Amino acid sequence: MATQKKVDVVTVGAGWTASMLAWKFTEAGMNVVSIEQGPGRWSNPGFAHNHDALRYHARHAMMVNLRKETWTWRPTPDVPSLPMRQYGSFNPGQGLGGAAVHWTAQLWRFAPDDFRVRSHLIERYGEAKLPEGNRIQDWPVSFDDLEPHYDAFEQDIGASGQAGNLRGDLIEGGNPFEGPRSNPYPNPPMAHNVPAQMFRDVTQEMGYHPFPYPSGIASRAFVDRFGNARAACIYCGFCTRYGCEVDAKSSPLTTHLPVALRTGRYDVRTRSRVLRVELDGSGHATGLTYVDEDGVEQFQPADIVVLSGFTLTNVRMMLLSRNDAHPDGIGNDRGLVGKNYTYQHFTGPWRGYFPGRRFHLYMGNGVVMNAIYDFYGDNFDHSDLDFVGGAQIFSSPGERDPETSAGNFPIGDDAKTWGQEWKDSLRDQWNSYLDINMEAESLPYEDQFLDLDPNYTASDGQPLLRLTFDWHDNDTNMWRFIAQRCTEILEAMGPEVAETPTDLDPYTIHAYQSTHPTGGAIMGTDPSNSVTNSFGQVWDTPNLFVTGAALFPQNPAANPTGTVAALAYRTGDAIVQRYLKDQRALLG
Amino acid sequence: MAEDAREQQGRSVSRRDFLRSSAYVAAGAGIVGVTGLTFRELTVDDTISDGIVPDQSFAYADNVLPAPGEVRADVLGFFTPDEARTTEAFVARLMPGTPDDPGAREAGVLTFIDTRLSMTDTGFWAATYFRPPFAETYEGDSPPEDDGYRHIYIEQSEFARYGFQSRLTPREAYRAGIVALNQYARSRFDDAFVDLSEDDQDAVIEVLADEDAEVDEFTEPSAKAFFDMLREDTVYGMFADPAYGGNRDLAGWKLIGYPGPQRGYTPVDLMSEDPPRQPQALADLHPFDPGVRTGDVVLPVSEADHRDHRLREAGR
Repeated sequence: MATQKKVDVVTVGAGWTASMLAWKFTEAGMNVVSIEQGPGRWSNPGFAHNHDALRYHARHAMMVNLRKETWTWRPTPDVPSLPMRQYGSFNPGQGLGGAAVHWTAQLWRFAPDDFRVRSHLIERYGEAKLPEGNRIQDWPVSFDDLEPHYDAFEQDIGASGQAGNLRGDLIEGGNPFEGPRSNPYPNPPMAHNVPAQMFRDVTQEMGYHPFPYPSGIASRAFVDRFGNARAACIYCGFCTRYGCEVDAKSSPLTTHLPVALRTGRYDVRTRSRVLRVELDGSGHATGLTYVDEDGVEQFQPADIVVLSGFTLTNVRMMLLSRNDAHPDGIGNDRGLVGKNYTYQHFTGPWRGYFPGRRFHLYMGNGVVMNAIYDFYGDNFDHSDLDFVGGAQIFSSPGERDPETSAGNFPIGDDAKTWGQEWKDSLRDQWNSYLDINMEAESLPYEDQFLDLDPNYTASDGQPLLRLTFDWHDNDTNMWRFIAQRCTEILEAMGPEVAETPTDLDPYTIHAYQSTHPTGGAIMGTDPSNSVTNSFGQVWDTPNLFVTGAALFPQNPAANPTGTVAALAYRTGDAIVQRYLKDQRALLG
Repeated sequence: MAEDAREQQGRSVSRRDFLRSSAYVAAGAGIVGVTGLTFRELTVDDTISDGIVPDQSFAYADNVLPAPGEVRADVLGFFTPDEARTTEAFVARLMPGTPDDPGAREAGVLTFIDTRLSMTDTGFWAATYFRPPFAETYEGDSPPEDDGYRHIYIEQSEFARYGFQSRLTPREAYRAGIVALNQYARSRFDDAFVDLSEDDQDAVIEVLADEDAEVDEFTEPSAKAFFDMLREDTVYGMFADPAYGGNRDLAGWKLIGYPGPQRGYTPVDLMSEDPPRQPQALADLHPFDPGVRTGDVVLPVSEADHRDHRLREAGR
């Protein structure tokens, strides 16, 4: 094993949080190395000719190579786990920039109540309202703590959207349920498709509050504060699971990576896989051991180690890295690593066929929609309902290619899926249907957790991470209620044929839902309830930081990237401004 | 914002050049660019360490486009002639057609599937975790008693939730499935599948498509798994880019009103309900040109030089 020259910081992966930190750290004069398992790549020419839905959408060209590493799953602790052998439930990315290159760029802030959901629910409904076996807990940060960082990130990437609450003033056309923002979005909302307009019309009529979907895609051209030139979106229809050839979709490649690399103090080692965090006798992290692209084992020493990979990667690394000081893994001295694993509901959709209409859903991206927050979180009274929590409801995304959609026809519950009937339905319905979708929150339970699998290993010889996860009664009841709202909205649009699921199917690892697994290394107010403090600093290993959605105590009904970024901005600032003055001390 | 953008336009040039430089990066990584399409050479993907525990080495195509010349409608790369006729007859019932209204046969779905299966010696073309142990299923309240060997038993009704768990490669699944299909066709109609009337072929498929049906001739793949595999490949063979061998004359895209890969659309296009543009294949999509000169070279990542990972700037 070779030892590299010691640096100030080493990170797992060169995804977005690593890039943000590399920017902040190198700007402060620190030296940073990232160990990235995938290849190097840039928008041009890398993404210049990638409009191939079979390769990118159906065959997951940009994702982690499952042949090297996957995740095992079982619904409950009393049955065996099996590996996810081909892509299904979620899509972790690899390569320079990580999953933030192929993301959909749905960009949210969590709502103020999301950060104190346990306190809020108990205050409003009493503790008995919380589901049995839950591990719901408040975050150690408030919306107000994060707002400046949400704002900074949105300004830096040129987010597009319509403010709904500007410093306490409600603005017509925006989301009236959002927390007060200090600034409007720097760019106007994305263009809409026809179903978005129909959704807006009927939900307004029903008394709801539709607003344009907020987005990390630039709706107009601009030059960002780093000097990166950004083009406006060309609505090409090849967005989620693709890299953007015009740099309209914000990613580490369009923002922080070039800035950090230009300092000369940032080094990305691509095609290199991290094996573990090394520890010394006092239980502190000393660096990362990895295997480089030539198959040679390397050690990269550093004063600060950051677990900035995918949620599930970070948790696995904590469990795999152990010594006498941390016999059960880093951060796991109290057995809390792996707890509070949560997900989201992205199932459905509610589909309607409108003969003669042409909706052209193959155009556009995953943010050309309108949404409502009227049934998000606790924005509606749950007193007489048999669940807590809720969902956002939104209209039809674009970027619909036939490779991944033609199999879902005909529309209708008992329709024949092959033969002349299938063919005719594709001819008639494929360009004349729309859908209504939900994204619903997921709560933590005692029997929902991550640990190491006893049977299956990765190509590095180390155990795969095992997910133990299934829906609970609260999910079933919430889903049924939201499904009724989706059905009402669809039917108000007047489709000739409607497909309206009424009940939640069991969780399956097979079907894609979202790449929003969260928790497993959660942040909290003190070591008794969490793995890290509010800065992602591991309580029992204070020179190790965790970024990303593994820090979430539970998962609200909005996409995680905005909050992941705001937390990373906040952590980066705290390390530069305070931690460096007193290394290895816990940040208060 | 617009004025700011104009003021700062000059600053964007170095950024664009920065990106242009990655042409060199791609070439260094063994990825071959041909008229804008890139494909990886068909080799075992062993670039990342498997040095600790040897991986099973088998070739698989990691999301590749077939190379020019690799798609041959007139030559079978994997199937025997009998297998090819059977497969084509099957997919032609899933997506029927006539010369005027093309279906799977006319669109070349067979060529698509045969190409897919002949590109590697397994037929896998997406990364697949293919390590044992493979699960076994049981019905009833409890799994079979311990026999001293390691088994992983999953209750039959739960098995579908775990997704792809086959111990067969796609090549093996096609080969075994076609044998079972013909055995079942003979047991029911006294003839091989391809020789049955269309109505009898449909009667066979009807049973395979029913997930509750038990068809003794099928063990692995199951009857439903075989049906699902052929239906999925029919979707891809009808609707993937013609570079993959199917969707001949863009028949699939014309059927549904899909214009194929276009460079982009406008907000006005999004709100229009006019007929779609004329369809085009990926090969006909004009190359993307960001409209900037090449010049300064910045190579920040390790493909630039396997021994020198440091940021280097040239010509600045």
